[in-house]
Order: sequence, then C-alpha cells, then structure tokens
Amino acid sequence: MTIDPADDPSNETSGPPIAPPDPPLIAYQTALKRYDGARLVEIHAALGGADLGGKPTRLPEAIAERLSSSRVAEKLVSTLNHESRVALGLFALTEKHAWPGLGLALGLHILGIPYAPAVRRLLELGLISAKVGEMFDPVVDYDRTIGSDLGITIFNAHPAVLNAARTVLPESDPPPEAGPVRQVRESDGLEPILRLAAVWQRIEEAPIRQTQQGTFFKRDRERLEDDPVLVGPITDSIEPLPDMALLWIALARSVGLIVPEPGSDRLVAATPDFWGDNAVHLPQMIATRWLALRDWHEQAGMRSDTSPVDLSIPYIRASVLLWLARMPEESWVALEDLSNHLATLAPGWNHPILSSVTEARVSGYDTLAAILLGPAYQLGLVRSAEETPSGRRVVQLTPLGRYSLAIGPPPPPRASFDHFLFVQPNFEVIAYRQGLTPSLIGQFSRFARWSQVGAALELKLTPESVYRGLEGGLSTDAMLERLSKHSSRPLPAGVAEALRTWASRRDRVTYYSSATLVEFATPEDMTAALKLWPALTDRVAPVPISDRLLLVEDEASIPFTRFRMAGSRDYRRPSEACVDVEADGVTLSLDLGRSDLLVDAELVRFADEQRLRSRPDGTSSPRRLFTVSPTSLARAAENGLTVAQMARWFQQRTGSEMPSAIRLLLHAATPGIEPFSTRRPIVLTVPSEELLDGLLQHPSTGPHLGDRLGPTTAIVPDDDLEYLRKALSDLGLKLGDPLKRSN
Amino acid sequence: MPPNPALRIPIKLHKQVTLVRTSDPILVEELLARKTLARLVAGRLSDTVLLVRSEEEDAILDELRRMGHTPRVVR
Repeated sequence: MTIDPADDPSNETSGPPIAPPDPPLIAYQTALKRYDGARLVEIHAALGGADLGGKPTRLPEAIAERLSSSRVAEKLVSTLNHESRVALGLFALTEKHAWPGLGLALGLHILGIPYAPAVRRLLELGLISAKVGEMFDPVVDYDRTIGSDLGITIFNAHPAVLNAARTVLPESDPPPEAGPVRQVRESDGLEPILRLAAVWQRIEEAPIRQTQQGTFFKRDRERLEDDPVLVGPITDSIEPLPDMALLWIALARSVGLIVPEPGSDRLVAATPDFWGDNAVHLPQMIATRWLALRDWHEQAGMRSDTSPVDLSIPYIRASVLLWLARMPEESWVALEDLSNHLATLAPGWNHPILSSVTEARVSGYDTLAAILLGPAYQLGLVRSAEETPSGRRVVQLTPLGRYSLAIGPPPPPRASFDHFLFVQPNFEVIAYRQGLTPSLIGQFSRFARWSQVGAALELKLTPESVYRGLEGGLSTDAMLERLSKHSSRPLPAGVAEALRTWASRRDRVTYYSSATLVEFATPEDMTAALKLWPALTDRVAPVPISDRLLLVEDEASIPFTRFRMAGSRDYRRPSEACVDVEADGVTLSLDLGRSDLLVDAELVRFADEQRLRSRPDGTSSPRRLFTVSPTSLARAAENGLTVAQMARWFQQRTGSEMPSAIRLLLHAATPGIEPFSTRRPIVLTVPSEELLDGLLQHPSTGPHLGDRLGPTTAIVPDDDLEYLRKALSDLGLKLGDPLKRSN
Repeated sequence: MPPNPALRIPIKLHKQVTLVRTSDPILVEELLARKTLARLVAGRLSDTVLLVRSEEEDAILDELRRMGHTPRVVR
C-alpha cells in the first residue's frame, strides 16, 4: 500500500480537504456536548464540581475545567482499578489523546483486560469522552457506546488525564520464559536517526508539497522514494521495513523534524536548533511516535489515504511491548510462545483489519516478528537471540525499551569513541557508526550531507552543505573544529581551505527576504541620523545602501524616538495608487508620501524623470514628475513592456485608465498604421436647438443627418444631401445651396 | 526626554522589502547580465543593491545557486 499519487495541483480539489484534528481539549469538550444531560450531571458530581444552579449547557465546559486541575486528575486516576489504569496507560504510552473504540478494545484484549468495564469507568468519571459517529450521535447509554456503537466511537482523553496517567503492566501471568540463548543481536538504534537526519536534509534542500487531502505531490514523493539514503537496505536488519521513505517522513513529521510551512501547502525542515534541543531524547521520541503511528503497517506499509479501513497492528504495538516488560528483566521470550499467549487471551487477535474479524493471512508469529524484529529492533527497543538448543527466535526489552515504556531508568550512554571520522581530500567523510550518537548525528547533519548510510557511513562536504551550516548559525571555525575533533587524522589542508573559501563566497551575495529600509529626505539627514543611532552590541549595524537609504536588518533597532515618521509602506501588501496624471495626459506626478521603491523602478521603464522644479522660496516640490514620450515608450517596447501591462499599471498606480494622450503615443508607435483622413463636411445650421432635435428625430430627415456638432449644427453626409433636401421639401422646408452660402 | 517632534529627522519606512545585496558592484552587473535573473529584478537601488519581488524568492535563490553563488539568506 502506498500513498496515492498526486502530481497535478488540480488534484488538490479532487476530494474534500482534510481538516486538521481538533486540539485535544477541544475534541474532548466537543464530544461531551453531545452527552445526555443526566450523564453530564453524573460526571460533574463524580468530579466533585460545584452546583451550577440548573445550567446544564455549561456542564461540558465545567467538567473540562475541573479536570484541568492536575490535582483533581491525579486524584481520580489514583482511585481507578487496575483495568482502567491499564486502559489510560495506553493513552499515555502512545501520547495519543484519541483512540478508536475498536483499537482500544483490541489493545486491552491482548493484555487480558476486559475492555468494557475498564472503559466504562473512565467514561463515568469523565476522564475520557466518547465521540460516536462522524456526526456526533448523542451519548445516552454507555452500554451502547461501548457495545454496538464501539465501531464508530472515538475515545478522547482529557489532556490533564493523559499527564496524570502512567504505564501500567498487565497483572496476569506472562508468557513462559525461554531457555538459554546464543547469538544475541542488538542494533545500535541509530538507523532511524540517521535516516530522519537525511530526510531533514532532503526536505531542507527542497520542501515537499501536499495536496489538500494531505498526500504528497507525486514528483516530491518519488524524489524521496528514489533516494538510496532513505530507502537503501538496512545493514543490521532482521525484518524488512516496507515503504521506508514514507515511514521516515511520517516519523520526522511526528517528532517535529519537518513541519508544515505556515500559509502554504509545503512541509519544510525544522530549524537546526531542533538537533540541539532534542537530539539526546530523539531515540525515545521516535519510539513513542512509532507506537502511535497509525497510517503505517509493519507488513503492508503506508496506508492509502483513500482506504476506508483502519489497520490493527498500530493498536497492538504498545500492548505487545508491555508483555515483554512484564517479563523479568534478564529473561527472554520466544515469539512463538508470545503468539500463543496472545491467542489464549484474545483468540483471533491477529486479524489485519480493525473493524473486521476476517482471519489473518499471516501467522501471529509473523506479525510479532514484523513488529519486534522490524521497527522495535531498529529503534533499539528490543534485542534478539536464538534459544538453544531449539533454535527458536527470542526477544527481550533493552534498557532503552524499558525507558521508552516509562518503566526503567534512562539507558547508560554509549561508550565514547572520539575519533570516528576519516576526512578525505575529495571532501568525502567516512564515519564509523561506533563513534556516533544522536547528538553527533545532529551536529554533522547541520553542515555535511549524508550520502551513504550502511555499515560505514558517508557524508559529503559541499558548498551547499557548508552554506546550510552557516545559515544554521555555525561558523566556519566551528565546523572545522568538529571535523578535527573527531577525525582520526589531521584534516587535509584542502578541506579546511575549501570550507573557508565556500564560506567567504556566501558573503558575496546576500538575500534579504524582509528587510527594512529607512529613507531620508536628504543625504544630510541620513548622516545626522547615523550619528544619532545607538551603539549596537548584539545587533547588526545599519548599512547605507545609497545616499538616502539605510538598510536595517532588525527593525527593532531603529531609534524611532529620534525620528518623525513621514510615511510607511509594507511591501507584502498590494501596491498603492501613488501617481497622478497631470492634465496634459503625459506628465505623471509621483506622490512621495505614498510612493514606494518599486514604483520608481516601474516608472523608469516607460517614462523619463523631469528635473526637480524649484519653488519661488527655493525649496523643491514634494512631488517628482515623469514624462511619457515617444522615446520613453520605444524604450519600454524594447524592454518587453506590453500595452496590456501598461494598462494594468495605470489601473494599479493611478487608479484610472491609461490617459488618451499616452494611448495616442502608443498608436503612433504602431507600425503600418493608416494615416488619419481629412475632408470638408457640409454643416447644417438651423436657427434653434429644438429644430435640430426635430430634424434628428423625424423619420424622414434623421437618417440623412450625420454627427451633431453642437446645439444647432450637424453634419450632412455628401451622399445624403439630395435625400435630405427632398425630405425637407416634403415637410415644406427648404435647404439652401451650400456652395452659395460658403461663397 | 525625547526631542521636540518638530526637530526630529523625517523618515519614511519601507518594510518587508526583498533585496539582493552584493559585496561588489561588478557582481550586480553579473547578476543583471543573466537574463533569467534580470527578469526577476524590480529595480536597482544602488551599485550593489537590487530590489526584487518577494513572491519570486525560490526562483531568485535557485538562479543564484545555479550561477554558483551561495547567498546568505537573511529572514
């Protein structure tokens, strides 16, 4: 199974957009609002809430608020029986606020916990709320909610309850312990971290786009699926991981290594600070997110987004690990025995689809192997061995596994091995896994690109990777120091030199995505302002970029109290009208108070600036004037400016149509135009306006008259003269001879 | 005590401006000589500073990198 392709942006509208899930507290409270009033009163009373004076509509809010007190939540959790605490423990262990009813039932079932009484008590106390069906069916009877409605019910835990809950192990007898073992295998747990680091780098290089349905654009997805560092075989592997690229992306997203870009459809890389803040805890973070990963299946890979069914495996991972935790720390359990144990507790536990009890096509053994020898092994949560003399595959939890389940202390740190790098003159860096830690993976990921992940690891130093390191706040010296510190030999001279060269090239071109420019009326003002500028210790000083413009990287550093704001313009907003057209139609007057820097560049494309006019008092006009001429329009045409673009510009910048005078110039510049025609028209003149109105209106004379020139004059087309004369004659009127009159 | 408002230096603020600044005027000439990049430039503010349109960020950075530059990006 794979995510459906979506290469074409038009696919974004092929289905309803997926709404982001409600925040946990909202989801919890929204579900409560569909509860029967009597149920709400019972919950409120059980929480010891004060009487609301007959206002049941306030009960959901009051219940949620009451539980928000950690003291109240902890006290209630402590009163629960073992079964209910195990149920809450599954919420806590996966850090998932919402569990589908069937998933929770399955998870409890294989722990030997009767789910109905366990969940019912949580509902009665309001520690979890039930959302029944997509349309929020009313919750009246809990027996129905956890009975016939279970398949369409989502249980939402109150966030404070999740914080108060702890991992609780099953109390019933564990599966039998295995005998002596040999060939113990334990992964270094670095594989997921290395692959996530590579995902982070790839997405930093090129963000991935999502459709409204949350799937990835086909091209972006394929780019990552074809990347050998992400999907190459894992050297120390017992069970394969399907759809690896999508698995790593899902995990990277859930731990926060890649994040949605605000205001766009893209996923982008988190800031490099992520590594400093989280690298130490990353193994445990990834383990928890894997336990909660519901769209990826150990055997079937990533669930199709169009699939209407929920898979079972994601809901049994935590319970299976809890059985391992139930075993004595040094003992091993055979997968076969564990499978039989689960089958005894929950016959048919291995059905692949959550909502269906169809028989599984794979054995319970295979399912357990896929979970425990697949991701759990790679994450370093379990170790594996072979039972002697039976040869059966056995497993046990590692210290990291116990820590991730919150039942053991933090695992001891890995043995240190400082010199694990081999930096080659061709900028390839070979890293030996034995020396790596999550923190070091993070440190090197910031400025060297993972190009091979296997028994030996390879990174490459490139101008882009060094640039990324510099962007992330590392200095060239810091990068060189890290390489030197962990290199088994002195750094090749060429490498250090190249890093410095690449770093210096970066300073040659700077891109400011949202700079602030301070514009002064005169160069003297700017000089005076710079003298007033406070000394900066932790901020970049302002940079003069012309005699009247100052570039400021941080707007907060501007000493506004010393300046008077004459105008302000935000360039992320649409352009403003700031140009007036003078009466002649070819002179454009720029209002300096409203203008921006773009308009200058726009104007000079098709107009020439006039020299500043001086007023009688010697001061300059507050406006700048530009003239449109045949020469300036020829320049515009040469630079590719079209008439349509100019027309749009006039609408935007002057708020009106392009002036006729400029249209005339454009017409004049059109090649092959016909000459204007000239002729002497016969002009009819009548004594009054009303008489001409009558002639134009009357059906026998109107068709023989041309354009009206004034109140009492109109043109008579040459061809119509005799017809008009006859029509007038029929009306008893006469028309003088035009030649005689003109004479 | 802040100075008398009438005596303060008048300024006009241009916020959220997108610029490309080079360390050398020759570099600006080099950038403008590149047709694909020149099309993305809205204007030249000085010998070393180009005004560009914010919506073209990806295209501008891609083009600069294609030219072999590793621009420092200030956000």
